[in-house]
Amino acid sequence: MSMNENQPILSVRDLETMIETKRGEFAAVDGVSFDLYPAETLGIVGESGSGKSLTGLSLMRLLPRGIGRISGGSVELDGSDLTAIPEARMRKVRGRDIAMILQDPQTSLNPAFTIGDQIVEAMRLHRKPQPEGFMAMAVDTLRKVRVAAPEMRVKAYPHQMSGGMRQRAVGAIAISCQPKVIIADEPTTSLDVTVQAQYLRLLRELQEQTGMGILFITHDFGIVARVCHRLAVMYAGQVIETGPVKRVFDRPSHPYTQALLNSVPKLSGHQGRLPAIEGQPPALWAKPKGCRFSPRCPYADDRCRAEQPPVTHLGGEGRDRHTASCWRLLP
Amino acid sequence: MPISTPASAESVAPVARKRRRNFLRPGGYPALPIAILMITLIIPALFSQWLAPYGPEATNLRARLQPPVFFGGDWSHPFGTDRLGRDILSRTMHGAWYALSISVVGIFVGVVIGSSLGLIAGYFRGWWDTIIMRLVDISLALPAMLLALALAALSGPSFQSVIIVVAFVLWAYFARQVRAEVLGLRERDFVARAVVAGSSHLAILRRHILPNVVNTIVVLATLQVGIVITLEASLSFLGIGIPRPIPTWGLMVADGRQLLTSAWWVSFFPGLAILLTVLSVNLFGDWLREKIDPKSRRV
Amino acid sequence: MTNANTPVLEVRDLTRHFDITSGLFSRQRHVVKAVDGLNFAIPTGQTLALVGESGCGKTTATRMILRLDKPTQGQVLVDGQDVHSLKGAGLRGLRSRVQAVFQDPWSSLNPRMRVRDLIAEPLMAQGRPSRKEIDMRVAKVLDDVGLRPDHAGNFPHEFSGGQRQRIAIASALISRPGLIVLDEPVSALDVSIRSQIMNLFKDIQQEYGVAYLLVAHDLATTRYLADQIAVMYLGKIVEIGPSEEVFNNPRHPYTKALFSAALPGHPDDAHDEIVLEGEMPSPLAVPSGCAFNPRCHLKIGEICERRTPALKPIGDTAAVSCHLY
Repeated sequence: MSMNENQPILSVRDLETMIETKRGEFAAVDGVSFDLYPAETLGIVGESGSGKSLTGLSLMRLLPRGIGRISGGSVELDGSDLTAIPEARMRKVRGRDIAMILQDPQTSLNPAFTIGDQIVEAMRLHRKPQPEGFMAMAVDTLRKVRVAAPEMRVKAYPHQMSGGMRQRAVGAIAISCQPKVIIADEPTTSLDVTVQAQYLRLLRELQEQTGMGILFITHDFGIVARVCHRLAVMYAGQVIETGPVKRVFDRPSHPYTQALLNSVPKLSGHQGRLPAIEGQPPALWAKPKGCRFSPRCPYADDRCRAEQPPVTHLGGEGRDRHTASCWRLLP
Repeated sequence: MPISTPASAESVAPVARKRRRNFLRPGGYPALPIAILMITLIIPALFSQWLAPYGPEATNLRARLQPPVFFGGDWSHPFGTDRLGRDILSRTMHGAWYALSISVVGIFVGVVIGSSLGLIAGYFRGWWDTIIMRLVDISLALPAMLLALALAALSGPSFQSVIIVVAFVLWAYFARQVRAEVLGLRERDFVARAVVAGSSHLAILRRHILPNVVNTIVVLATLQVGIVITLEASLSFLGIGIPRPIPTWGLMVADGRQLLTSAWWVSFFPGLAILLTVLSVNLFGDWLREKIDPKSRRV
Repeated sequence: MTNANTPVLEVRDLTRHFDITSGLFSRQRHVVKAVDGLNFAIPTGQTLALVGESGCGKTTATRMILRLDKPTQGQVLVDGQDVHSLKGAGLRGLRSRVQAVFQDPWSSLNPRMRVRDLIAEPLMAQGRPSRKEIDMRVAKVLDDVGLRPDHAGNFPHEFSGGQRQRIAIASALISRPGLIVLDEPVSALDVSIRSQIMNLFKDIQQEYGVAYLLVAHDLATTRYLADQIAVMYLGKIVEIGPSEEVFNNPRHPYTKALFSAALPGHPDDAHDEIVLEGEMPSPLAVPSGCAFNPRCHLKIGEICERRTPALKPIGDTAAVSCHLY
């Protein structure tokens, strides 16, 4: 890889995305910032409604038309701001530099075309054919995602494959143009446990080979613990804590992160009552004024309810940087 | 590209797209103009007895084939008169009453029969389903005109036979649509929950299935009005619908057929009435579907 | 009813086969053994979890237990009575003894009914209790699941996912059942809500003494709630035993692989991950011998391909079906 290992490939700053609801327009992504380094997996963790999926769609500029729009901030990929370039150029970037894997392989694949056709279609947009032709390249890509007998599978239709196989095929399309960044939005939720384990291992191996950065959007801390290097916890449209996975798991600093990590039942050892978080995440149109978590936070005081907390630097730099946004972290 | 519908963003909870009211945009149906058009068509239909300047069969041989006002005629017969000197405006208004009553009664009968059979077929499946759906296939394969001819031949053309034809043409559509909907509903967890709770079939049909298909039925019924009006007009036009001298639009268009070159207004106004009614009812149906049918509301 | 030692639920040789015809012109008939000879029992007030991946037959099994489907063979005994031979009053009695909470609280509550009527549904089916009694009992269960009695007049769409699941639980509780089938009861809920609901299940079990049949794919959830675990693979139980024992010392190779694939609670929980080859075969083409043999990492040899292992008891409480034992 020619790029500097310690220079982020993807840099998101103060990203703001508005979405239109029947009650008006609200910021569903509300000033999100993070960096993604080469060969790194960053987990974006949050509950539904936290804005994690919309963050992913915003980076791809694939917000549903007339419903969502980017209203502020920047997304820097390789020195160019993706929020500012014209749509025609964005189309070139999509697939080639930054690709996406969605939750449901069923809907991501066109049932009317073979897997090979769909990989070739993606490659034709962004790559030059090798002498042996696109189809041979497609076979090669399928081999990379560990599809058995790829020469046969290129001719298969999506319905002839199992769920895990389909998700691999989606992965093959995503990596077919050797992107620098892959955004994976809950790619394993529709898969079984053992198939999920295979898939997560595959992603890790592909990353080791290609050095691509992966943005892994999930609600599951278990996935983060297994595949991510760093994580960013989102709540009500904001990143409330970010840092290296091990450090955050050992020393969660935001009360929300602490509570979430505590409330997940563990596989080993006996457990008494689970510590629960009372209440539920706020609706888009009813976000609290101060800290978004303050109504559910056991430590909240008047300042928390009145003013949004600033980002506090808790140690480390670059890939090791650990930050959280909570008033209690300030001296 | 591995990208399909980006709308699958789970965080976009209940997003209702704000639509600008715009006729040209698909799915944009302005409620007010449709309502006004409907009312201007319904009021004369309901009150034709009092509003119409003349009786539907009142002839005036001295004022035969008088052209409409602004076309050489005068305000005594704004839409002109026909060969027997009958006032076209009055006859069109009375025709509206027949069009409306045939639609309402015919569709009602069709809906009741079709929806009930559809409910039974979809809910109980098995041989009920097989029998009912074969009947639907047969019914859809049988041309309505043939049935109308047969009925007219048996009992002579009458209001009742038109209703029977209308109901016969419609029930199969409703049966099929309702069955499809019920097949989906009965697999939903809330039905399973009701079964586990011990509710009877009747209770499940009444509480869980029917309330969830009523919207579809209402929308579908509205959209049939246009079809029924054209059907009734064609039957009458062919002389196998409602018998003369009752002024239905179809009969009136038929009457003016030979006069098209000399007295175009005889067919024109009832024809225009058919066009406007069908158009407005269909627009209303689409608007209604947009409003209450959750399937088309999904973003 | 019956004596105290009768399990709330007992399943004997429960089997469900489906006939599938394939091919447009040539009619080929296949028999799919979706559930093949299940045996287990749940004592009063305890929880048994059925664990397995999609297609293993756990959903078909629960449908037969809930009487939403008929077994091809075998029996489902609730309080010692065979539920598939019940009719009339006996059946209505059963209905009040077995209730269910489904996965998705958005589809398990009829959007057109008020909370009170939704919750009271099992009562209404039992006969005609008075309006006052219904209101009283609805208020009581609403309180038990952590909702306010005045929520009774609202419609489901006015509630969040977690609250809706509480409504579903209240409805399952109102007829004071002996057994509640929990079909993936938290997987559709937000992470921060799950622990609330899981705690609620435990509280209810203590207060009402109800037994649970839990179907879940999340192993941590299963471990937290279950007393006994039955691991299913291709329609059969491959391992069954007390939760602690199975989790601490899984015996069947599939159980081992399944547990090792479960996601860790901490990045340091590194363990030897057993990555299985391929996916569960289609129930249309079950491998001969032990159904797990083509994917098994501990295969002994030819015997695995030839002979189907029986479920052999290990100690008093556990059993495993593998030629290794």
